[in-house]
Amino acid sequence: MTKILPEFKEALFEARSTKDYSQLTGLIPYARKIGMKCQSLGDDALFILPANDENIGNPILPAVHGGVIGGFMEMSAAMHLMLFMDAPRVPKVIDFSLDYLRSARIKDTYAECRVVRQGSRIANVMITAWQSKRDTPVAMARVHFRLDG
Amino acid sequence: MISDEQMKSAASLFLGAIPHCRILGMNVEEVVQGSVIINMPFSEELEANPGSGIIHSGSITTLMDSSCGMAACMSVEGFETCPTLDLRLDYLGLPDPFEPVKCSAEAYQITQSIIFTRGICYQKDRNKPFAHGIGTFMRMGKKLSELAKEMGL
Repeated sequence: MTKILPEFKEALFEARSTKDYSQLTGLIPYARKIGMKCQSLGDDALFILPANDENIGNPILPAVHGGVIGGFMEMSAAMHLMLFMDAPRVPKVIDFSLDYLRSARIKDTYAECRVVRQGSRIANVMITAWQSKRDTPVAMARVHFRLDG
Repeated sequence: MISDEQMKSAASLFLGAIPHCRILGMNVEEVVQGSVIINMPFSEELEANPGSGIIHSGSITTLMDSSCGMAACMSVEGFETCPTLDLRLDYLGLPDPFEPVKCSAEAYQITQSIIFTRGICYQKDRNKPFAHGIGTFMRMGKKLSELAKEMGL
């Protein structure tokens, strides 16, 4: 992301105070494109990538495109930071490392994020994505973000 | 020995069969000695911020995965299907807004069970990449055509 648009900033502050995260993904074109959603889960956020034939990467299995799973996890991590940082800043991806554990079938995929370390300039976020069960993840990833004002 | 032109047609067919790559408008631009260049047009649907012209890194991840995956499949005789084990992307800078992006990928080591690939994403000048990636792929030992037959396709 380059900079937060005023419209998005307003929606972000609204989401942070009301804990209603449903409007956020609709404001980001790429999130809309892959059809991802976000909802609150207690004090946390749950990211959802509903089953969608447009996201297929392997028509024979069939399976979701690995890149879409990656994009979904990257986007989840950035949104998680913006929702839970003390003072929201714009996270910019420095690098991204992703391990695929199982093929993701054409059903709803979920992601949860954990901020491993947040300094003044850099954040390290771990993301787990799963389908049927949380303890059988389809992918695990780690993102380093640069945090700008 | 398959020529680069034949390899390019095979790669184009293969890429065209992947629904999400088709939706992102990817096409095979060139195949040269085992390395592949895939082009992805700019689309405002892929932006991170509406109107910014900068596509979200998620679609770059998809381009890198597809290009490295294609390089992996091409590197073994008969196009084996190779699922991704892991992928790593370094974002060296931002791409220029509203411009198409390209990814050039190659398989640099092929063992009996694993294929190691690397790729760069750039726009006009391949000496100025904005992203660098490495992908590791698993060999299933099955050619795409055999797999398709088994599945009754």
